[in-house]
Amino acid sequence: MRRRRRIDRARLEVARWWRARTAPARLGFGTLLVVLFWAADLGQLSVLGFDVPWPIGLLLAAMGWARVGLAMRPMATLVGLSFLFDLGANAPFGSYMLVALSTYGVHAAAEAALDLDYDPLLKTLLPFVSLCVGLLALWGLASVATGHIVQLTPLVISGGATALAYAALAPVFHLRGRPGAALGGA
Amino acid sequence: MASGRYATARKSPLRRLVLVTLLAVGVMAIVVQASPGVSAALLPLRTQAGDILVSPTSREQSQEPGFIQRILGQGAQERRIRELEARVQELARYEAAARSMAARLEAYETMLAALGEPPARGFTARVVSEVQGPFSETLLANAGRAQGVEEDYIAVNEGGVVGRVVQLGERSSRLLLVTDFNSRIPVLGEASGVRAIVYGDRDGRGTLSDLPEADAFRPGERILTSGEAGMFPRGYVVGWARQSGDTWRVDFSMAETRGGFVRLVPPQSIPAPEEAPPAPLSAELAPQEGAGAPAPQPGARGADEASEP
Repeated sequence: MRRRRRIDRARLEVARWWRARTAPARLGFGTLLVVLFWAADLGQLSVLGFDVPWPIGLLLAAMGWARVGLAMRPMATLVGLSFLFDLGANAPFGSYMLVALSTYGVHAAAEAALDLDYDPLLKTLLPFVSLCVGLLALWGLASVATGHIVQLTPLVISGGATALAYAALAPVFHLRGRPGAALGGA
Repeated sequence: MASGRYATARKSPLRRLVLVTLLAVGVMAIVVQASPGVSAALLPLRTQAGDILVSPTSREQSQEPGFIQRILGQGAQERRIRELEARVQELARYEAAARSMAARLEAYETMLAALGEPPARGFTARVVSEVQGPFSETLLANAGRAQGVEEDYIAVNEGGVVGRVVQLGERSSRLLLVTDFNSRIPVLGEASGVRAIVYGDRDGRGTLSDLPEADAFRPGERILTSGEAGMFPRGYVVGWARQSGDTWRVDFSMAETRGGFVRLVPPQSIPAPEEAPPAPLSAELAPQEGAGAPAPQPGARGADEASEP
């Protein structure tokens, strides 16, 4: 019982600390996380000896940062990060920029058009829809760039990892704190 | 609190305009890169990025144990492991060479006085990163132009052919894996002798195409490089044949023993007669007139070296 109370207190402390961060600080932290995921994927890092699919950090950021609507700094950061992904994946420059910005645009437009605060189903489904848009864009661009239909399975696996990571890390990519929001400001 | 900066974000048409403009720029960038000239101009940027990615791990590759390992007394163990790893690499190379020679011997028995392959020279490089994204399946190795690697070098590991060098940096090289769709290798069946082209199917296996109509591979037989087209030397193991419906597939042998190192060997370069300048007639006649050995001809390197035991 006492242990549980201590854990709850620690969680509250973390949430309070995170809510006190400014938007640029959150943006910087999110960027760092994206770069870490990119490096882990590039180095094929294994966890406890098991090969695990790493999430596509760029899509995580695009979905998370779009929750406050369109903004210049997140867009510029996404563009910068997309070049890193282009280099890593040996993709034509601009490919990941299109993927990230289309995901970002779709998510931001949906956030603006729909009243998600009163519709939990839509709120749950929207990230999956945005993720599907991003993965489809990635699949289409890769197919066009390589001149053949690329396999969907690896993309779906990466998408699954991204969805799981988003479920866990969504508050980290939220740029605006809301009064009375849940832990971490989600 | 966190930011009021984003409070009016949803209502700004300027941001929408920027987003649409950026999307248009992305599309334009991709279209422009379809031009081989632009793509070639961007190549140095990619290779430099590869060099930068390689840099941190180059330090790891040094034989000296790290500070923490020294403190923990693991230095000797670490050194021993590295020595053994190097030995295993060397033995694996001998094994691959022995298999290749066995395949060659079979050919020699049936074709007397056949010319063999030039002995392979090359460099061993460490695999720094692996890209298995939707755009290409490549490896980044930490050996480049500075180490003497050239474009189209063949990469092999303990299992067999891994791919070939498609981009070259100063200290790094990008290898197109045999599993990539754009990879094409002329191969032959070890037992059946049937020739075909193998290409990657992005599912870790390859597909054999351009088979002769009358012949077929034997299930489970080894697939070797045929040495045709002058790129891949003959006799390197590619994998094992398996039938899947009407198509013949290849289980790549390199995938089973991926130890983090690749051997980069030069491609087979036997110039066509029209490419090699003919030797002057007097030079050809000279040895016959004298008592010495025949003068070496340009382009006859393979034949000379193949005659060695």
